[in-house]
Amino acid sequence: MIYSLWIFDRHNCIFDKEYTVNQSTSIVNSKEQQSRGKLIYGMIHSLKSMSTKIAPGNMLRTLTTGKYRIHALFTASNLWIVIFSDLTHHELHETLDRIYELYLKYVVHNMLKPIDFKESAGLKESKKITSPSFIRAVDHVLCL
Amino acid sequence: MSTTAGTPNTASTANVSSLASSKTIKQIGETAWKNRTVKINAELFTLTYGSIVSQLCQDYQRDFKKVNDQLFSMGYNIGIRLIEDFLARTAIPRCDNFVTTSEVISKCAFKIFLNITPAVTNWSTTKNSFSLIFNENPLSDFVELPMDASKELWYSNILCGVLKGALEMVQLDCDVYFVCDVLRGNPQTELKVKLNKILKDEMPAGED
Repeated sequence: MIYSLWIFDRHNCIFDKEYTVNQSTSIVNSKEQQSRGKLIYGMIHSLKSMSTKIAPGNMLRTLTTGKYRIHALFTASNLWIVIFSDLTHHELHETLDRIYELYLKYVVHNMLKPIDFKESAGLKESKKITSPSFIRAVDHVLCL
Repeated sequence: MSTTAGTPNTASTANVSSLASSKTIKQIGETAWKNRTVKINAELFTLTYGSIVSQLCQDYQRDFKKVNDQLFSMGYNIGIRLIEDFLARTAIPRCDNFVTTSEVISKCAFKIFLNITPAVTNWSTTKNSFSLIFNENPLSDFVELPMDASKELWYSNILCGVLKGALEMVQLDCDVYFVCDVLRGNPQTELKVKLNKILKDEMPAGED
């Protein structure tokens, strides 16, 4: 069971999706999740820098708690892809790689959309990935 | 609470920080070139680029400074996207010094996207700038510059933009420019990359 998917770029959380409710009404980029996104960012950021400090070149990959497991992929361009799952999933790194490929296909290669999700001055909310084909493809990868 | 931080196991995720040997970087480049790159006809590519440049010269009424700038900005826009493509194919982590960066650029990036490996030389004493020497340049095959262009036009200036954009996305603020070009009658084609500063990773706004 996958609980949720989060994508962070250099500036902010740019995508989040909950799978815990029923699938047809799953929540994408919801406002209520914003503060949770910040918590997750903070937690992963600290653990990541800690694990690199203890052993240089070392990367955080998974994190297990009593009730859930976090799987994370970090790229050199500071994109983070984070999946929350239950404890039955031990390794999701292939899935993370596939989601990165989808990000490439639907976001990076989409020349009509800006690549940078930085908040512009006039806009209060930060920008998110809204491409329906991206969301569909991600669901396909995660929900099989 | 327990964390597992596994060590990378495949060649593609080889740990660049521990790479004393630049062989690994070369291997990553070659594997990605062989297995993960869609090839196109080199002549088609060369001619397409040529027609873009010549169209720009026409559009800007042979104001070659503007053409240079335009090529650079086209390259920049390619670079900021291309870096993700590059990282997805190679899974290279952040380089921990600029020497490694130069190796990755020459042996991986140019190998994957243009199938060339420019030589890295002319290091500054502080190790923050280097030159790439192009013995071959697929962009400029068959090209002869007309007299008026050969003083001002940097024909392959798009490469500078690509490097600038891509490096910026991995937090390296660099100046990238051509020093000389065989098309201008110089003995070799040399591109300079100069590191200004390493940008800080941005933190998102915290809880209020």
